[in-house]
Amino acid sequence: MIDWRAILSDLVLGFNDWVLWYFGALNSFYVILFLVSLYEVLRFVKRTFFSDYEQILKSEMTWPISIIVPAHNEARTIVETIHSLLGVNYGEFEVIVVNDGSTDDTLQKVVRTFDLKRTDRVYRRTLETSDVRGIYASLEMPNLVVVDKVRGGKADSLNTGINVSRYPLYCSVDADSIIEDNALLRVVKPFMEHPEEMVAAGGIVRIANGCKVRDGRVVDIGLPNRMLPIFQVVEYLRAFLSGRIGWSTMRSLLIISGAFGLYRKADVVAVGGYDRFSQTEDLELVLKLHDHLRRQKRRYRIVFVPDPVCWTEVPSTFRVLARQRNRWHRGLVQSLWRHRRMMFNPKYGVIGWVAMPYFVLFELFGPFVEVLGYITIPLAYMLGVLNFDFFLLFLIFSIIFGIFLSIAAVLLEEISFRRYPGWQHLAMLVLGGVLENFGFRQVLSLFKVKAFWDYLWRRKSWGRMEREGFRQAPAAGAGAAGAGAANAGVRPSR
Amino acid sequence: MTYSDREILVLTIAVTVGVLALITLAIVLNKAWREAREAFDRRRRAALEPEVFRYAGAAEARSIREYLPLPLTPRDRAIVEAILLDVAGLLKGASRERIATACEALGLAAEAIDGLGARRWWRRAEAAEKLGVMGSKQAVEPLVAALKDPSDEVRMRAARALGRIRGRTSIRPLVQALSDPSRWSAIRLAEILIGAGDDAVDELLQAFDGLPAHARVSALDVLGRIRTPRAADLLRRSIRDPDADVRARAAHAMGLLADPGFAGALMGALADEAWAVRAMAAKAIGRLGAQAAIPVLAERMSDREWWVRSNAGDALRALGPAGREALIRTLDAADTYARHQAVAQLEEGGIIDEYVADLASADAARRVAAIAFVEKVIALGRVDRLSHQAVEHTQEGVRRKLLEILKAVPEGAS
Amino acid sequence: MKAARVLLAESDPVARRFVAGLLRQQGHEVDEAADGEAALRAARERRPHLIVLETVLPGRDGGEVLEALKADAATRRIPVLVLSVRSREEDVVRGLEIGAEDYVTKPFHTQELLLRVRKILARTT
Repeated sequence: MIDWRAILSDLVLGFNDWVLWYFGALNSFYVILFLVSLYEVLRFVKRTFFSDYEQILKSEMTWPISIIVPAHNEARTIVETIHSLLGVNYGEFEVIVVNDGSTDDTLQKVVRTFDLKRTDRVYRRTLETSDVRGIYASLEMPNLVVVDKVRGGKADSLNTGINVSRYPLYCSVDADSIIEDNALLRVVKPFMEHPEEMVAAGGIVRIANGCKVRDGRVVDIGLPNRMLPIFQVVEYLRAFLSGRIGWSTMRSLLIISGAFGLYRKADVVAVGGYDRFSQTEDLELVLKLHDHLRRQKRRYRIVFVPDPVCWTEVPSTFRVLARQRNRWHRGLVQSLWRHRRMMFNPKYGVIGWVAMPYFVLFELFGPFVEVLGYITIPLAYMLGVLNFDFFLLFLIFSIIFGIFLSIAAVLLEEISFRRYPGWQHLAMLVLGGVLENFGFRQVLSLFKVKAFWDYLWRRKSWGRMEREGFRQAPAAGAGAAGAGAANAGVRPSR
Repeated sequence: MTYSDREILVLTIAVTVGVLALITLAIVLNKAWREAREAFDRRRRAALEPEVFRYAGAAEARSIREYLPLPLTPRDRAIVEAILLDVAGLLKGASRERIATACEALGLAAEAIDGLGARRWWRRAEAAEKLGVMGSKQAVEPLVAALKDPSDEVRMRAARALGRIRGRTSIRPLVQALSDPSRWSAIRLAEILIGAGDDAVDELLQAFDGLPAHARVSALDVLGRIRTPRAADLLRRSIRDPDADVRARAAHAMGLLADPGFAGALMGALADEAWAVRAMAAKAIGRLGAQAAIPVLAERMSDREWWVRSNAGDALRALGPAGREALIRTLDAADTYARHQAVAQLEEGGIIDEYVADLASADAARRVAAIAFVEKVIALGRVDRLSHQAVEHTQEGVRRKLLEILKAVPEGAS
Repeated sequence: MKAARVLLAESDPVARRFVAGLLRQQGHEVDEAADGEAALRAARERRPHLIVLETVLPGRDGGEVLEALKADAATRRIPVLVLSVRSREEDVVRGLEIGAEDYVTKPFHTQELLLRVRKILARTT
């Protein structure tokens, strides 16, 4: 007679042990990442005394930039966005708006407002895209071009923009994001300092909910007054300041936000541009770039620059948040799978040995470990092997550790950019950092598990590109500090 | 004695909470301290600034020491330094020299020079930066020495500082640095040299032949952007340099100088085997307004390379009526790309619009010419603009005529 | 020389305080505006004898402000001296074309600036 009970108990306990190790590894890694980020933030702050930016602005040597704005049904904000982009503080640049088969009057509004006329502009079709219906420009404003095309998705629109662009660098910008005045000057700086090596640079994405916006410009910075967006503010701070800076320093930055990134066109074209079938084309592009450049054995840099800012709105309801995170995670799974040959491959250096495994082990599987824990706890209780005290302690520990990581991110913000100047902001951030561990993180893990499930069963959300769908900023490193929490309490009492 | 898991856990919790509390405390204290300090600095600045400004704006030679309440506390000193540096960026010439004199008089320059020897790289970098803004000639030698600093940030700021202070002694090492791209960003150096203007020209002309190819490229770029006529001979030589990049950059620089005397050399360069050189030459000729080049440019519209064609088209557009004629003739060229490029150029130049308007002209000859032109464009398949005009043009007669032609002529697959 | 009312439009606080100080030293009354909208409002309400204008302004670009000033009958006659970081030839030409009385680029000589101000005021008052 097989003793199911005993076998099950063994399994649960074994799982439990394993989870402790997993949890230990995950959180140690977070601490290391934080320390690396801390070091780099301090260095960065010390580097910037007088702003070089004015010089970059005036200099004729500064490379011109093509700003590409994919737009689908953005009639509400597109004119404002274009105005604010045309007024950006930069020397030579052009704004290319790609109307991705909008069904509202996005195109008409733009053509009317800026008095554009159709042109037969000649350009090189270096990347394959869906059909372009027409190109609009104005003789008075030579640096604004609007491309009207058949619907093809964001990746396709970006590729079209790349084809039409004139300059060696391009900046991808979301239609509903707000780029700060000096953001371009700041994000182009590394390209000026390492012109041979730089391939791509990403800036920080900050949350516009709660900020006062006028004429397409953020005039007053504030925090949202609903908890869900506030949790995301803390999450983004953690992901960017405590995560991406670290990865960038370790030369293994895998993600540049689609909302705001500057790229060298030639290299992007060399890897075939953006992938139409990816859910997170920005992640996919960066992975492709790393792959390509490493195989070419070129010295290159893909960096994160923390001070150019892009303001964007985040979901304030669970439903929209769920859809967004579902898409991000599905995209993550897809891209990691596609580039699986980089894993543990010495040719890819730190990316192969550290970044990819991290993403797979922790970002990808972390949520599973956590959710599995939610199952094993009641199971353990029923089997009688649940050590309640230990479980409780562990729960407390992991929550506290989660709070620690959040507060650490707020610390990074306070010693560097201090965009939220008031005491009440600090209080809200700290409070948010504490509270998000009591439910928000766990819910995000659930979303991720569902996303994986969806990916495996290839659900039909591929083509759904609603307005929310154009916002990108996968929050890597925001992970699951709570991951091991639930499970490790399952230990026999000593 | 071994600890139980539970005890380890409690210990870890305690440590984490402790660290957490410390961090939070650190944040709060840091913020409070910072705010207090900033408030204090603002008050002191409000008191000292008007005096420093009066000194800076004055024409007479009184020392700054007579404007300020001496001796200055260390904090006040730092504030006065900040004010002087802020103002220095606004001024030039004699006004700027007053700032340098003030910094020397207050011992700020000497302090910064000492700072170049600090242990921490960021202090050295900050010192170099300040010296550049101060503009004191005393700093030139120490800054030249700082060009060999192990930290690249320090080197770059020292270079920038030298560029700001100017003078031959400052510029010479910067020109030499162009030869070392592994240590120096060529773009930054070029920027600095451009900012230094004439001082850089002297040095570049003298050092040119001794520089390696990539440095010569940067040098030509700088000379072109400074737009100095003294470089003319050098450019003429360089456009025949064995290195293609050098030739291309020389052509580009010639365009920036826009001296009609370069026309001959550039027309020669239009036949260069390297496409970059041809492209730059085409671009440059456009800026020169050299009518003699029109036939050669028209030929280049059928070049293999996209950029050459595009630049040639731009140049023709810039060359007045004769250039325009050449573009119209290109509509009959054998090469498809040339024809398309010609249409694009004519459109951007508003010429298609002109012909379209002529469709309803009272003058029969003009009407006929307009019809022929429009038919040709349609036959090339470039109908976007025309279709737009057929609907949007203000004159009904034009619209009618245009629609008629659009229906009659089959869109070519050219 | 008579004291005049001058409107200074400059977004950089240090530059603003400095130039305002320079002008006040000469005995002029100086109104300060930190952006384009404020400058236009002040020009209409206060009717200065001279406007010193930086063209790099947040929100409304200074070039637009200059055009607006020259388009508005109330402010058209007020001479404008552009004092700007935009120092390329095209910028200077454009500024003068739009209607600026004079164009001084930054960085500048203090005495030269004051001299030009004096000359404009002598000519127009």
